[in-house]
Amino acid sequence: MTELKIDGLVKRYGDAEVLHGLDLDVEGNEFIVFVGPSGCGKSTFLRSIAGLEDISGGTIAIDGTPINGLEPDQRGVAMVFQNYALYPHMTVAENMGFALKMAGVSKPDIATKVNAAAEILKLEPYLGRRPADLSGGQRQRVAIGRAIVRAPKVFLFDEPLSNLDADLRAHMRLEIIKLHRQQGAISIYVTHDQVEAMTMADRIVVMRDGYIEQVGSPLELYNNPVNRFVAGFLGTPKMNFLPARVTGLRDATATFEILGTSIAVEIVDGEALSVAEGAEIEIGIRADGWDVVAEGEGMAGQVVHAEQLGRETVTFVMLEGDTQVTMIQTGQHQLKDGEAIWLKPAAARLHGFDGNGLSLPIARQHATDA
Amino acid sequence: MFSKGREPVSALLLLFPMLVLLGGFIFLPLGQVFVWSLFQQEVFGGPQRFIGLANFAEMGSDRVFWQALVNNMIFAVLSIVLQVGMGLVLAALLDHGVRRFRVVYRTIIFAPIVVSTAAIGLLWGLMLDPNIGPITDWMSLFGVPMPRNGILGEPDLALVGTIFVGAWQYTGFMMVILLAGMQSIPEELYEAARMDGCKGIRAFINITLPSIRNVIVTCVLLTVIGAFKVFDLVYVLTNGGPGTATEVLASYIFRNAFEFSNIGYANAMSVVFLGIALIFGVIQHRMIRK
Repeated sequence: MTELKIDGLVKRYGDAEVLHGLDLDVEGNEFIVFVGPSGCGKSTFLRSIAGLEDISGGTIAIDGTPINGLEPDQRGVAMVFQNYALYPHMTVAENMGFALKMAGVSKPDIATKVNAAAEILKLEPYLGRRPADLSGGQRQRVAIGRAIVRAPKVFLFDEPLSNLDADLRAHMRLEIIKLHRQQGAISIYVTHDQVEAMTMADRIVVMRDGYIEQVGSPLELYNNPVNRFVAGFLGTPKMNFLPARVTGLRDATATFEILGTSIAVEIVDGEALSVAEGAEIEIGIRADGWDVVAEGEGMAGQVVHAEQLGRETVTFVMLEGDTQVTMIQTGQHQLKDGEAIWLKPAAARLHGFDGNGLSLPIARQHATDA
Repeated sequence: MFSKGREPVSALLLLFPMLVLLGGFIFLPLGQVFVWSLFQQEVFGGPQRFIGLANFAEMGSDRVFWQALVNNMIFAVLSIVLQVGMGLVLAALLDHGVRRFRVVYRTIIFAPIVVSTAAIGLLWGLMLDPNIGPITDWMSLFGVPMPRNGILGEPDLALVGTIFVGAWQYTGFMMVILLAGMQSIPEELYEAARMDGCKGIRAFINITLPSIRNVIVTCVLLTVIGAFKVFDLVYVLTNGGPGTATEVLASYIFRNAFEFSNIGYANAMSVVFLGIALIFGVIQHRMIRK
């Protein structure tokens, strides 16, 4: 069982520090996804593990052995690049066997390993072709095959699906996950696409500005984001954020006033709100966290547009004060553009954030609990 | 040739001016060369006497013709080594070795190409002059003996000296072409190679060279073609001498036409010259991989 341990990883370019002491422990055959907006440092983090970037501080160890001083090919890691990075002058077989050739492995052994990988990836008919004669999906498979052939302890993926069209991407997501299960190694996957993160990861590492914001399973992060950033980053459509005020605090119950509507929420057992009565806070409501209520009972709004997706309806509603929110309802709802509607946030699904954007300990029931 | 629905007549009309120019300045003279190669003629515009293939037969026994041809070949081979070889080394250094002042170096190394070859010939003629040129003095500082008549005055060295001056002019040009090729190689490819345990000289051999294969082929062919049509450099530096030591085809053709009054013979050699050029053209076409 492989163990990847990263301790206090720091990366500086000159005076600019871009990774600020990152810690991460990965064990067994986890599929880890680094996700975050452009420039958050996720790629630099990955490239540091690969050995393509020298690190400025900290250690990276695989199975207890520090690898941060080693050359990339000595680390027991393999990488799949965003643009495939296949050698255009080599055939598929030569591409896949190149690392072994460089390592001085005998030709018959290379052929055996390349053929084995080609069989897994269904690349056998293409072994003699050059990358230019392959489709995007086939090239991607060759790039993965090149990594598999080396039997690494850690697979590194740098946004590998971003060049593929939507259909193929969904297909390759599943392929990669299946391969990952077969290989039984650690996989670290970088993406800016939160759907890829949610669908593929055992654990997601959300990054921002060179810091790790939160690490956890997709649902942990979705249900209990530690701050406004994580809450807003994961989930489609995005969480709605509304300004609110704390109007009452009694025992385990707090009352918030949101756009003139009062909502009572329960505080998590043994926790206390870090804000006082009267404090300005921010409320987060997922698109499925709304109840449509009778006229005059909740927040008044107007339907801007309703997207009929058949299985569900996505409605954009303009609330008073020019605040537009998104609502998802399962099933088909006939809502006309411009129609008046009254909404109330479901108290048991509410997120709250203090002035620093940190999550308030509000007790929640999630969709699965219902 | 013309796709359906297009008017061949109007196409011909549009091509007409270009066809006139090509015909008048390329094909007509070309045909004339073929015709004149079958005649003996001593003065331009003077009387011609048909002698069949006698001019071509004469080449077989003409020692200077063969020497010129061999000189062209030596010129080509050494130029490939110097221009493309050095160009590759310099390009590789600028591509991955040198970090600072890259553009400055590139500009300096490229600079000689913008000077006319005649001027470069005169300049290097002075540099290499045994009496007033500085090269002899510099060499003596290192204890390197120099021939009394200078490098260009020594039959065994004059050709090499000429080739060196040619390389001095063209290496920078080759470097720029090769460098452009190298810089079009995505950095990700080198990173993939590093992950595969291939870097430095091994990456140069396994990644860089194959990636710019077509560029190298083009450079080699440009060098060979340049070496076979070289004239100005030889004319200015050595005028084919000492004796006939640095005579090349172009200079020998020129000499026959304008100094020896062997116009028919010069035309016949031009035909052979054209044949050689065509062979290289075909080789280039074949070697560039799509």
